[in-house]
Amino acid sequence: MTETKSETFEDKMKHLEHIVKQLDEDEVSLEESLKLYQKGVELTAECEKILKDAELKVETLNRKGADDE
Amino acid sequence: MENTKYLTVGALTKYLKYKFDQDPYLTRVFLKGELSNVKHHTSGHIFFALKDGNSVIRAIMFSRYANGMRFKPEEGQSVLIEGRVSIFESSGQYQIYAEKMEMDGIGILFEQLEKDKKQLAEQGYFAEEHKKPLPKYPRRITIVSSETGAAIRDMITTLSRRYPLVEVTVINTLMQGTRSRQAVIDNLEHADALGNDIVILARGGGSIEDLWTFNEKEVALKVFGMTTPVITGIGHETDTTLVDYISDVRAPTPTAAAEMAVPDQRDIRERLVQSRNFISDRLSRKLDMGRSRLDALSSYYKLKNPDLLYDQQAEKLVTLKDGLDDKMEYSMREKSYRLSALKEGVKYNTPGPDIRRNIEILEDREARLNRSIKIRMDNSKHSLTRMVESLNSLSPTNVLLRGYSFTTGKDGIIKDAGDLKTGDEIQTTFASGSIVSKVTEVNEDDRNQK
Repeated sequence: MTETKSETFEDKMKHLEHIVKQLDEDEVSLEESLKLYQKGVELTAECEKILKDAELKVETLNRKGADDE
Repeated sequence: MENTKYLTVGALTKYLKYKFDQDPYLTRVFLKGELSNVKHHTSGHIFFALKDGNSVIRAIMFSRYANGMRFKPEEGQSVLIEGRVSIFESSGQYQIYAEKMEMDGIGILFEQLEKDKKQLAEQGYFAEEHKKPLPKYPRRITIVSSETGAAIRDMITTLSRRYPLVEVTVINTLMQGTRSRQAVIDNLEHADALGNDIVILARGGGSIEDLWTFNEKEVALKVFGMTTPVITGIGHETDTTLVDYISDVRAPTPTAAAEMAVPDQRDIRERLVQSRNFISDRLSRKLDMGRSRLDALSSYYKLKNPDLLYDQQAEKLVTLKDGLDDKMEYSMREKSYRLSALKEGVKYNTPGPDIRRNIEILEDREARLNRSIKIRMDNSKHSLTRMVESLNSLSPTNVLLRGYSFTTGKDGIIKDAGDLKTGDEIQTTFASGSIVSKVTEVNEDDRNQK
């Protein structure tokens, strides 16, 4: 399941929400449910890891009219 | 007469009033201060007090002066007043009789701000429909603020705590003073060009003059024209500037602006845990359901007695097959009937156009032939009748009927008496009957003898 690496955090969260919604519907087959479950667990782990490793990146631009006086 | 050295209150008051009214400094006073206890009387007079940090003076503005004013005096406004100071005798209090009142400094700015706010509101700039929605999980945020000061530190700390995934670009900007208006406008332009998900325009608390840049119409219109959603957090909670009305989201403070820009990772983590629990729960429920269905099916009587599975179907198959045969036969019959009907139709109903035309010509000719034969026969019949009629008129019988008779001898009809001799036997025939007689005399052409 390496394809999820290219997804953004937002994509992953949305994907996860979608899986939750799908599993909430009874029409999904058992096989499909298993796949969704597997994917869902992967996504939660990935998202948690992303949050854990995240560090705020700050860049400062000084343009004309900068507050330097 | 000890009493003569005592003045009445009225006399003293009159004296004081005289002193006030005589004093050139008091007859024309220019006074500045803050309005308080403002009461608009129904007569149109305005009663108020003017104060500063140390003192207070009662004031009145008569309706004839109040009516021409460009603004409505309200509590707390800083004003410039022109008038005279005198004493109101019945209360003995000195007061300023205001003849002119104008807003002072920042007051004039407030007046302009109210005008701009009203105009922009009327033109729909504050309407909800113009508010751009914020992305739920922004990736990049631009902050237009001063690099120095607590506001930017608070915002960075908040973003880092709540949602460290985000990348922040700070555009260091002069946020107060006369040159800040253009700096803010330019840097907002630049921020919009960066194309990040959200722009935060924020500065910490300060005096109303310090915050005035954000009450400027040009700054507000710049915020309105941006394609990136803008969150404003200007000053303290009680400060609401013009840009706050026009921005997509108004935050009470810079810290609040940072909070509104990003989700809180604690919420996200909680949601992740809930999601995992939910999908686990759903899956095990589905597995349980599957298991119990399997149990139910495997104990089903038909599975224990497999013949039952297809008995019914076999019988149904036979019935269906019979039905199918019947239908086939019926359908074939019907089709062949329709085929022969069609054939008949072809025979009678579709002669070639040539044949049909020839038939018509033939019929026409036959009719004409019949007609001309009839005419001919009619003509012949007619002339025959005529001939018979003329024949009748020639017949001896008709002559006899008119009373003539003819005479025959042994040699036939006698036309000349000379042909007869006396004693010859002649027969005279009449129209009805005849006689035989003997000639007794012969007179030859007695007509000639005459």
